[in-house]
Amino acid sequence: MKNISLTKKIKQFPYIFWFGLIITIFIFFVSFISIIWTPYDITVLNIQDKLIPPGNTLHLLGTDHFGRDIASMIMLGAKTSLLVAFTATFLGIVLGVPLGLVAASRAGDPLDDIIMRGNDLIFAFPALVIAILITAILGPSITNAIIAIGIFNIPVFARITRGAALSVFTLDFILAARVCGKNHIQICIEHVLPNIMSILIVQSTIQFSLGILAESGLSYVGLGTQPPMASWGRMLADSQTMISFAPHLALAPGISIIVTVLAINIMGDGLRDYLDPKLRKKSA
Amino acid sequence: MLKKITEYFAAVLILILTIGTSSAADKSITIGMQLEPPNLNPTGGAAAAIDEVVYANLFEGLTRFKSDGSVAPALAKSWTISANGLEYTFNLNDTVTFHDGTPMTAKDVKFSLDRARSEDSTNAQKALFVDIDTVKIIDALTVIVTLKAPNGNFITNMAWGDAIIVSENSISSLETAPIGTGPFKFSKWVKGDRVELIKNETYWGDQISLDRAIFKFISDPTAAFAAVMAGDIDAFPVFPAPENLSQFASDPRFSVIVGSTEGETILSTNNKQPPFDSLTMRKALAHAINRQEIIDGAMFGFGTPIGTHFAPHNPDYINLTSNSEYNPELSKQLIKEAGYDKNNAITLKLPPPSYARRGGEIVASQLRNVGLNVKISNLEWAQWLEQVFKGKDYNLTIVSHTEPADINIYARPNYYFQYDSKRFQELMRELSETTDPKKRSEILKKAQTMISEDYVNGYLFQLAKTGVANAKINGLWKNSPTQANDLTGVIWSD
Repeated sequence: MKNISLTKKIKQFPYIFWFGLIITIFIFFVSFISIIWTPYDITVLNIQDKLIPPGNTLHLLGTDHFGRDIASMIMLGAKTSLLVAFTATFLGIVLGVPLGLVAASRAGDPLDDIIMRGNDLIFAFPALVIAILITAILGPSITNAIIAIGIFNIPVFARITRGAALSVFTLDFILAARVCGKNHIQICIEHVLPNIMSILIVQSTIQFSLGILAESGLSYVGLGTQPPMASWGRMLADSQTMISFAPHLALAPGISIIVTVLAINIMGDGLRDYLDPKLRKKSA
Repeated sequence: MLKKITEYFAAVLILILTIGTSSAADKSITIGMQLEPPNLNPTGGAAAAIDEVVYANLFEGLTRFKSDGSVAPALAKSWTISANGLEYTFNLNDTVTFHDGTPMTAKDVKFSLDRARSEDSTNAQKALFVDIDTVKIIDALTVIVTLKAPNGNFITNMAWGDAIIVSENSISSLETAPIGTGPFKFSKWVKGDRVELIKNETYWGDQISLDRAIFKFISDPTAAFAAVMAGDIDAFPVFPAPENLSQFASDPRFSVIVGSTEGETILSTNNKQPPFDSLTMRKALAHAINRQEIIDGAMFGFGTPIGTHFAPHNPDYINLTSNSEYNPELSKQLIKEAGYDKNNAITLKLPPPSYARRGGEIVASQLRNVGLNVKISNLEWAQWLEQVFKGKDYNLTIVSHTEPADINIYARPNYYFQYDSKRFQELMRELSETTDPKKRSEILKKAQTMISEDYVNGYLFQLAKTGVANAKINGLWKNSPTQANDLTGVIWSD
């Protein structure tokens, strides 16, 4: 009986979700491995082995202009990307969701106005430009990249939480909870949050993939990850002038970024299709 | 239908071909440069990009550098030096006029020299004029410059871009619409894009072959590559990406010009900040560096290893690379001796050029190899000037010193690497007072040895001038004895 319900559940997810999930898990797996092992140490430069084309038996994806192994750099770059994107998304959730809940529970109050107009203020700036500004002021480093990207996740989560929470707040069971004597905080945590969870999960996947793009973008302009840490964005920037005679230097990080972002996005899409009851009914 | 399309393409093709051939007969040249000058006044700022546009093209001094680094007469057709070495009598050329039509006379020479050495002058190389006592006008075409002390370098000093002769009438517009005496006149400056010069029809000297010169500023190496490949740029005298040169070399449309520059690329070391305030640590640093690896990795093989702050093509140069041979074992031992604590992170602050950014990664890897804890931070030029050059808040940095014969910067204790040696300062004083070439050479050799043995900085390599030009262009400078793109001898061949 239980088995049937599980297969049923699996079937309810669109197949594209599984496709995205498998690739995402693979990328996470690779980046976890890179913490303990990479084929080569990328802080050691072997100039005499430089620019080996891919397909080599010792260097599967070839080497760069310093003789570093591209495969090792891609693995470590995956770790950097996921770390930055994950922390920045986490920052957005931890600060944005409570702000959104407060705003929703105090809808119409000056506090609601203050929070939401504050969000609008951040939204008014183009995200990447302000991220560049922040890292330029604080100095380029991976921590500052996380802060810069994370700040932009706060209003995103605050706004979506408030919108979703507002509609939950109008429902009768909230009134019932209030009659039972529960305060705002209890209501938000016990009743509102579980009901808007699906929206938050889907939004998290979107912010996560945007975070990967933002990290690459910042590192590309030299404001994100600093050498010797590997980063896909910096690999792209470094390979620019060599693209005509060593295209593998640009292709490897470029394809990595595309595949990762695409995989997380289609996973998020599938998740939304499953979690959103309106969409599910239509497809059923 | 198909026939029509082929006809159309044929017509376009013919059109393209005719345009292509007609442009070859054009007597204009477009020069690519990576950095745009902040203004066009060589007497007011240190930026090399200023001289790279105006030197010899727009402005001239009493004397000038030629492409081989020797000094030749320019506005002064001849000069005599008094027996005690204090009085220089300059005889000026008599048909020289400024671009605004006014004649250039002794008055302008006096004005220019007095202006450059005045209290409130912002001249970047005031040291060139410091020995001048008085400038006296004898007649319209004769000037006598009296020095406080004999200076064997004076004639060379007058050839620098910072010592050009300007007119009092046009001093206010020097930065944006300069007026000089050169074979080119200023035409226009589209900020952020290009500076255009046109031929000066009333030039006093030999007529030039070009009608127009455009200096186009492209900072991005990839865009620079595309622009040269597409023919938008005729010559890029210092091409920013040495990795692309082999591609240009294999293309018959281009010629690759590899020469030498005055750019000593050094691992500048803060001599007043621990851990490199100790000689042992600096010695360890020098022995930890593998120069050839840096030249191969950062410059794709272009560059000459140096062991001191002196250009290898200079006749007084001595090869001191053996003082700082690559020897990681010795380096490790010295670091142990000096008692370096691995928790002390060493900051390596890098400016934007690729020799610094790439070289920095290689240097950092080599230093980590001997057990130094190096932290790289990449800076923009403005930040670098603020933090490193002015603020002296750094341990190590990589930069190329492109001024000619600039070993005297080591005599300035407040210069950003803060080398304070009374012996060296004494030596430089002696040098400026010596006029005998043989003795000067001896002093210069002594100076080179002294900074090499004090391990003031890590000496990496002499920057090569890696230029690319249309194969039909002749007469560009192969080497860079000074910061300049002299176009007076450039000719298009057919």
